Amino acid sequence: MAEPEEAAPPGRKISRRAFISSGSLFGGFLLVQCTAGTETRPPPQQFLPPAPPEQTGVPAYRFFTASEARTVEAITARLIPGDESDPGAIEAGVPFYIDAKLASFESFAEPTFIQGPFVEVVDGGTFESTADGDLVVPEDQLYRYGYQSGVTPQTEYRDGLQSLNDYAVSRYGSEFADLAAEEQDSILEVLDTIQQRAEGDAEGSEQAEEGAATAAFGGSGAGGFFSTLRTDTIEGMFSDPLYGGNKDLVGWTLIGYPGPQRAYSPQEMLIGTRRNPQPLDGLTPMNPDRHAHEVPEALEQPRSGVRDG
Amino acid sequence: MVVQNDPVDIVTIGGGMTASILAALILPSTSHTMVSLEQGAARWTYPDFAHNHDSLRFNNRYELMQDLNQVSWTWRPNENAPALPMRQYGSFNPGQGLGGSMVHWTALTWRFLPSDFAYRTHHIERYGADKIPDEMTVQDWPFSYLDLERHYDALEYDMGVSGQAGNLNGRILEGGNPFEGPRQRPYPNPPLAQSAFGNLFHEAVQGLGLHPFPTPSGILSQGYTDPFGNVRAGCLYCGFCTRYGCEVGAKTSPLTTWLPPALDTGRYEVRTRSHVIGIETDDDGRATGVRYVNADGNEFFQPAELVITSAYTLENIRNLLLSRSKAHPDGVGNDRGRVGRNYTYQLAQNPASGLWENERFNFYMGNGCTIPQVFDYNADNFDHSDVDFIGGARMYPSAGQREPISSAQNLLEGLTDRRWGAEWKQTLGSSWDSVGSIGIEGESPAYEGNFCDLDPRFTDAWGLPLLRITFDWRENERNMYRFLANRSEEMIKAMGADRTTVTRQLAPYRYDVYQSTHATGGCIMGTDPGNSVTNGYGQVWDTPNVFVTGAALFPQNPGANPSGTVGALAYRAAEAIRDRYFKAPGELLT
Ligand SMILES: Cc1cc2nc3c(=O)[nH]c(=O)nc-3n(C[C@H](O)[C@H](O)[C@H](O)COP(=O)(O)OP(=O)(O)OC[C@H]3O[C@@H](n4cnc5c(N)ncnc54)[C@H](O)[C@@H]3O)c2cc1C
Ligand code: SF4
Repeated sequence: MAEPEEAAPPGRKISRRAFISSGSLFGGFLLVQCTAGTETRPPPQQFLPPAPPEQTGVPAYRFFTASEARTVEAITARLIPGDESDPGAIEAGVPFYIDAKLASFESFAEPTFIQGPFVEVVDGGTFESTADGDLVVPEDQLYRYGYQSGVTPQTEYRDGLQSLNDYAVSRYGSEFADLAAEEQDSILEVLDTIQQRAEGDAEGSEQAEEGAATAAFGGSGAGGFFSTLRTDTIEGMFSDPLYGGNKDLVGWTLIGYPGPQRAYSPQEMLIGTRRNPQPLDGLTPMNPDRHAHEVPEALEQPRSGVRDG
Repeated sequence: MVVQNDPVDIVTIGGGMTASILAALILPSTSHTMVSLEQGAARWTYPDFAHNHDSLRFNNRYELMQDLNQVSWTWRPNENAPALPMRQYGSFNPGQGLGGSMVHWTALTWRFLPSDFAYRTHHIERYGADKIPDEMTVQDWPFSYLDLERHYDALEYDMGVSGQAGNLNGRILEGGNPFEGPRQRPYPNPPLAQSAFGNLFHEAVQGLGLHPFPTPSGILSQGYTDPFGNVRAGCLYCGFCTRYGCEVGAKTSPLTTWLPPALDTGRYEVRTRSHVIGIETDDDGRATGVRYVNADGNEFFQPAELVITSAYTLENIRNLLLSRSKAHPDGVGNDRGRVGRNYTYQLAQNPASGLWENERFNFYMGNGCTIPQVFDYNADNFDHSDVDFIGGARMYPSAGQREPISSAQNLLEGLTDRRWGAEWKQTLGSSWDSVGSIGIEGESPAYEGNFCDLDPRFTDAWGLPLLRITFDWRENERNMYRFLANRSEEMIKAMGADRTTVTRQLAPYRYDVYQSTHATGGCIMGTDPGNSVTNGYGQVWDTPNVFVTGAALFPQNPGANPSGTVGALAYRAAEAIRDRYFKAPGELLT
């Protein structure tokens, strides 16, 4: 649904929005909000890239406990599998990316409207059948509104990883990280299907396993958690190494992306480029040939007349 | 305590595209004083955009967008449904900061078509009144394309638009858009370089008998000195364009074009980090100025003879509705309940995608304008006698500036079974630069049931009600989409894709998926106070010393991006304010 304004990726954009579970409380109400996170997004340091994470040899987890980290490593290893010859999420350092994201922000990394009230979701029914004036949405319509839960990412991970392990134990008798790859995949498939069903995209009727997973997650949302995991894994795989993932540019190498460059020629647009991939800090300074005495107008504007109120 | 500032002649709410146009056109040849109150921070091409090729920060974490922690907008699909706020960015991305949304725009710069202006009359004359569904509240603009032509012309030369003329004074020119209205001059700059995928599209659709032409773009294809004397560089095709500020000033914005001449007068001030909370009126209902809060939380009153709301469509509607007083109990401009009516949007979708095995298109280079466009299925450029809808869309191939993160999220939709795992990874690795699609950007007609008002429940950081949007697609758009999906499929097949996937039905509108920042209508212009909020200059009927700028003025939204017309309307308003308004302040312009 993107137009060229977006980077024009074709096809449906599957949102990573957290949705609440479906089908657990038949006919009942389910309160989406769990904790109203205190929003303390730091004032943006305009346009300066953040300082690189400190390089102290082996990276250490700052947010995840050792056991949580083990689960996150196991999940991301299935989302983007790899080995040394064909690096995946583990080789890219994706778990460290996710950890840094959760540790760097008290709540959300992106602008988020966090004021209540929060919506209640009713299983079944239509807009017409819900009481007039109440903040109640039928569960099959919730996806259209986007993220509505008010659960901070930190809480979503803490609770979600716990629920995922509860579900793994109930289904296979062991925690997620200790299962065989096929078992891990079938768990993730269930969560993915729950998410797709919430967006009206899954085929067939709900399977028993979806009900079991939903129950294990309770109100915190199995599908939404999967969506968050997938988005964060992709971010960690393909964002600048500055943020802790995409180690040695393995994500960009995988897809043949040369990283941020200053410029391409019209000719390169037609036939491609031979540039080596580079990270953001390899980008040449702007206007290296700009002489101090000749100041291009569009670059150096009259700043008088603009001040903070 | 509210601090009283010294009065000025003109105050604008917002320091974005239209505010800077008014300043640059009104101030240099007059002695007026003007202040723009801008909620965001100051930023300049250099050094602020010198090192900004960070897609996570700008594209995924919305560095340049309005801060949702403070203000959002609620939405519901219909009046029976509850409205919920946009808690994280989805459908649209209004910007904030010096220069407004135009600093991070894509820069497609269109003129609307002559039939877009005479919308209702045109359709009735050609197809009869029955062709327009009853619930559709589309209407004519209060003037014609020809009335706006000279303002389009001035805007294009000030911006240095790059493109290929299609209709020069009535003469149809090869290679341009044959459906455009007559223009008095060619574009000031030649078209941008075209992409590999764009060239493939161009040839294929020409083979289908259509008329592709290069995107008219507010990005310079070569160095240019504009009529204000700004010296600007040409595009570097860097691939970090939409949602980023341009590091060389090749992409037109207030920073490159209108702010320098306006600030040079010494009679213009942009007060940044200043959030306006309402327009004040006196007992007679005349505006006296605006109230705002600065970053330290202190409150000020800025008196002015003329108040202009130039805060982007959504906040323009809200500013009027919030300004309630004894004289205007339902808000400024709303004495007849017209504010919020004719809210429209843009039907932006990618119906068909294809995979070209073993081909690479270098999608990560270039920008949103390095492609051709097709207008054969836009507006009434094709016969609608035998189809079950009115309207159409511009159609185009995937543009440049593909970014690794957001594209990896959804690029293979419909082309792999799963969206993760070994097979997905392998396909992504081999095809990331080999998948492209056909996009449509379609009309959004106005309906009785699509409108905006104040939300009864949610408030912003200052305790004021959020704007509530009630909006969904209707039968006409679903039928139009089905038709255009078939055309998209023909195009992608003609381009020789090895595999294709087509989405045939238009899904209900969803608030969480980006479609375009082309929210339009809500303070529409018209011929009289019974059918509109403002006259043809954006002057508010019931409070003539208040003007509205921007796409909120559109009675309905055509199948093209808004800002060429947003700019031309601002040129038209600026001229009227400069040459006529102050001779009889507070009188309605005719
Ligand atoms: C990602 C993106 C891509 C786009 N691409 C295109 C394109 O290719 N072609 C096209 O034609 N159009 C495009 N647009 C749309 C274009 O940017 C807008 O039409 C144009 O900027 C509107 O100008 P404006 O003056 O109405 O609003 P803006 O330029 O947005 O200025 C409004 C300003 O008002 C400020 N403001 C709002 N409320 C308050 C308040 N209460 N107090 C103080 N300040 C306030 C905001 O911070 C903002 O700076 C795009 C927009 C986006 C976001
Ligand atoms: S693609 Fe061109 S116009 Fe866009 S940011 Fe890069 S250099 Fe500027």
